[in-house]
Amino acid sequence: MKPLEKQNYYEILEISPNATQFEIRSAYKTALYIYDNGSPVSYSFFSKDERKNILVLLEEAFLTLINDQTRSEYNRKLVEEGVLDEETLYGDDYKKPIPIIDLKRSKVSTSRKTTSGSIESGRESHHIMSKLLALDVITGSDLRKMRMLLGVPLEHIAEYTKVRINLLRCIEEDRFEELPSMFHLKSFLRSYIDYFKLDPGPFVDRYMKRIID
Amino acid sequence: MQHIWPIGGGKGGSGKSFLVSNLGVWLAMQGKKTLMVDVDLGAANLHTLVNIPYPEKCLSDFINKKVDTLDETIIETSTDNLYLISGANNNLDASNLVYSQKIRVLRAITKLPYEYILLDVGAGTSFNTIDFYMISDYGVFVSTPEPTSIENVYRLIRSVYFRKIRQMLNQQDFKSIIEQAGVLCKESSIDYLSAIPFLIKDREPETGKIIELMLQNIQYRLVLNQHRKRDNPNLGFLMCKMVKKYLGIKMEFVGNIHFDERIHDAVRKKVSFISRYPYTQAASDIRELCNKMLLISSQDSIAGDEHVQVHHL
Repeated sequence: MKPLEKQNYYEILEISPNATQFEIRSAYKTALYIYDNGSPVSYSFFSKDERKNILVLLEEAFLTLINDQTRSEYNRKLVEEGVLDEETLYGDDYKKPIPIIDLKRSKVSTSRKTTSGSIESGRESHHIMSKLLALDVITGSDLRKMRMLLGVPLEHIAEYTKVRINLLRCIEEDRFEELPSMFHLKSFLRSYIDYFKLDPGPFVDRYMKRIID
Repeated sequence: MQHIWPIGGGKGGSGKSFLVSNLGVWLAMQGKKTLMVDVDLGAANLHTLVNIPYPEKCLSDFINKKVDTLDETIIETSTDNLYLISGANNNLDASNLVYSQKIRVLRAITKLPYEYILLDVGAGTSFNTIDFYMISDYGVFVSTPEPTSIENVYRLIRSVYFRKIRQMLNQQDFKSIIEQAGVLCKESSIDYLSAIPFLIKDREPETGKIIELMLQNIQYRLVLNQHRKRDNPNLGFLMCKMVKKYLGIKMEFVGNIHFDERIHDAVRKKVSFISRYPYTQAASDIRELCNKMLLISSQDSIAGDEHVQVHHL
């Protein structure tokens, strides 16, 4: 085993480099259960100093990764060191849109507006996007493609729509049978599309077409 | 194929003999020819648990050469297919067995024609306890979900690991390696144990390789006994994870045994718990973990690693 000091934060918390915030939190919780001072699991396993070191490292790892800004800085550092592959890091989620004009930089709680603003501009500029929009029948993977093009993590949509992330994933992967009902599918889809500031009506029709056929 | 499972746990009262007797009964009920050996030399009581208060033969007879073969000390129990070598009438100084005699006993045990041989190893981490773990790669460790017991079981695992390495080297080499490891890190440190195989490999690549292979073959199991409702059911799993991560020893968690007041009754009445109370949670826990262990060992023997269990004897 690599000594703990030489492991990166992802290895310390035993999570993958594109873990979600939820996963980071629960990994930290599990780790604390194992390594914390009163824990029965590691009782007498470590010396006092070792335990202290581990706990310090864990906290450092957690605090760095839970904050998006410090996390991306840390990721960049890992990529530079060649520890992480850029592909694995940005292949899926966490490709954040970069706002073109950020007027309200100083103010907080504008994140939602700025994202949707950049979504609109990104939507228009992409010609692949327009191809997607012109499709006759839309599948889950088309939706996913669209989302990836705009660089929106699924978590954001889940947060906005208040729909659980695995249900959204079901929609994107065309696993309708796992959804509670057709009605739910429609309404989830509607709010999903709504996130992108598109007219949900035709989208839902084009998506549902396939299932009805 | 013969399977030898040493069952111990460091701390007294964690349920080692109880587990041995019930595993023995269950294995025998499955039609496996099973032998239980009480190697808790100084404080034997396995015979009591299977209700043979006055065993006429015991392990001491073999140690003292009253009989020629270990075979002659075996007694039948009331359960079919289940046999016992008792330690009831051991000499009062039996727990201080000398090394050559111990080797003689161990060698004789491996030659007995039984499918499953369960060794009831006593508490503590003296040579007379941990040496019985040397005979097999499939040691079973019993603990309760209490810090005292967990502490002792970790200690036992480390001692066994340490001893396994030690017996592969001559005394001089071992001493100098220990000194070297002591310079690198403190003895209580977690890196201390894992550093030793590397140091050996550095010095003598060939011996290092053999030791590495030997450590890879180890397949320990952990059982948590007296598990109450409010204990975390994942505790054992996490413990195994720790052992694997920091000591590099393969250890599988095979299950919790639920705490049950009736176990006390069964022991008091000197009947086997699993046949007296077969429909309790604890009994089904025992059956389940036994089946799991059978599955693991059958997978191992199918995998066909032809490593001789008693390489060094």
